[in-house]
Amino acid sequence: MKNRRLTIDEKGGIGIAIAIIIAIVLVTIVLTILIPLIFLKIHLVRVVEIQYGYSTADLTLLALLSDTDIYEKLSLYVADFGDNAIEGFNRDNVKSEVALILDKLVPSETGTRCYKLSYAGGVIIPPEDCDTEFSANVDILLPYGKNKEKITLEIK
Amino acid sequence: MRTGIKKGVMGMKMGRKGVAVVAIAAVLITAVLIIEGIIVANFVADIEIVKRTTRELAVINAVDAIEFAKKALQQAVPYSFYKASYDVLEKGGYCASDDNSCAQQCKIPYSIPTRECDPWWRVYDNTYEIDSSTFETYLSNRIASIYDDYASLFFGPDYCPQPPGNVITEDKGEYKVHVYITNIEGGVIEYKSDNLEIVEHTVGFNDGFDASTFELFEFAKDTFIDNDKIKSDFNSADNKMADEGCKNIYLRDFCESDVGLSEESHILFCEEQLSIHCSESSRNDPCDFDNDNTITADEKYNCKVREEFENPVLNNDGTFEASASIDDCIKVGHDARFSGQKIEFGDERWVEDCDWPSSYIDVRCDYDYFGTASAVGQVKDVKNSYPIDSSWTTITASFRIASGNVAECGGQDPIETSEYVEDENSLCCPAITTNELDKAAGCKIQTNLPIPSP
Repeated sequence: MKNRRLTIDEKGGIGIAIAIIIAIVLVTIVLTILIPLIFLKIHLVRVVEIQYGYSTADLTLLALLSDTDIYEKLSLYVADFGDNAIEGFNRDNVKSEVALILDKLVPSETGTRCYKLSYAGGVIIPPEDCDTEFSANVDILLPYGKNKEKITLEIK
Repeated sequence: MRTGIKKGVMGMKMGRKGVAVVAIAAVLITAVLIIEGIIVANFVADIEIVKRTTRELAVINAVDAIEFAKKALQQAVPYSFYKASYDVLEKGGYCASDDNSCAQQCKIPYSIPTRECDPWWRVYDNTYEIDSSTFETYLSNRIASIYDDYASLFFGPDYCPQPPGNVITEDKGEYKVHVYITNIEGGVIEYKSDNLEIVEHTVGFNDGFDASTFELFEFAKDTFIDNDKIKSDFNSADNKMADEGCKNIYLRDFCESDVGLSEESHILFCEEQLSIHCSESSRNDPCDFDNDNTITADEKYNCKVREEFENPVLNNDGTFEASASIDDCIKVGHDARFSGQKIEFGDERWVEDCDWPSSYIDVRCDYDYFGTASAVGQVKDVKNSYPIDSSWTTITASFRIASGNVAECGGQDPIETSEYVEDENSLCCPAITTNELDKAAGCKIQTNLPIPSP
């Protein structure tokens, strides 16, 4: 049988097939590179956000309670005995003092002044007009006979 | 033939197309498998990342928990001190346990007499002084007990704090104290969870803060032991009877037939004069006795003693107030002394209208009032309050005192501590003149011994 030359139609069909295969291979290569990168980015952002958010809230709360006398003052605030003699304790003064500290701590960590400090009895520092996302809790000790109380710090 | 060739050519065309389709399909399947493999591999990798993230967060939480625990244990130092001060001072410097039984609750040495678990600091001239170092020991024990409660309260099942081993309190003067709490085992704070355990060795916790505990205790001792306030109050009330005209009654002239000859009749005369000049029917008096229309000199004295008791003694800067309230036992009485110049018949100063042989001029009756009381002594810090239980609370030293200005009581033998002493006279001695209101009911003294079996 004599060899027959491919017709133009046949050459075109093979060319299209080769082009399709090359396109598939290229797309596969691109996706092979892009997909891991996209997944990595999504997960890194998620993980970092979670870690950063909760760690920031935790560390901010820790930093707040590490300030001189603030632990005792917050403890007495939460215990809610009212104002009285011990070192001129005054609940409104405590709120102002805590707000002053958080106004420095929170922006340096989050870039915003968005925070809310509260306990079971109510909000200590009222929230600004923003939605908070991360929170940290800590049980603080109250005067003997009143056990302990949870304080929550929420940040953006 | 031509038809056969055509069919062959057609077959070849169809065969090449089939190969191209199969090739494309194979490449597609391979591509899909590769992409799927990448996705699966990423998921597996993500799970690992999540696991590591969880671990990291757990470590962060654990470290934060330890830090928060240290803050809490630090704050527990002053709170424990405040509560311990309240408890120990309330029991006269003793008490180191919450156990229910009386003896264990107070843990007062057997040599110290008690009543309803409250210690006596003084029974007339016998003082049962608690020295400063003993007071500090009881205070430290109580702090340790409360601090341990705090640790148990604060830490949940995931935490294993060691109880404090040693508590040292230091009086820094000027109402300042420093408290050191260390652990015999080295002070271990332990955080445990399912996959994580963190142990931190902490030497201990200490804090300095304002508290008037030591100064208040010393002032209480000074007021009721070194200086007997109760005795002073009886004497002071005795002096103030002069304001009522009941201390010295000056009379002019009397016949011997009115006064009598013997010493007993002289005393009787003075008692009559006392009832005439000192008793009143008015009831504008701090002690308003409903069942009687007249108030006697002894009743007046009784009222004045009570006023003196409640009149507080202040320390130098007015921080502490020492006062006493009569428990249920007070006895009062008085002695009368007669004096006057005896004039014989024939003397130019002879009182006319008197029968002979004699008359008296410049007659005077003097009275000494005395009494004994069983009281609860209290020394209160009136300037400072502390966060204790559910409110700002003042600390008050409280104890029992039996004393008076009756000389006979001074020679009383020390209270026997090996047996119960239930004789009412053992406290309210001696059996001096009393009115019916001053019954010595309930004036019992008992020692801190277990109750013997019947």
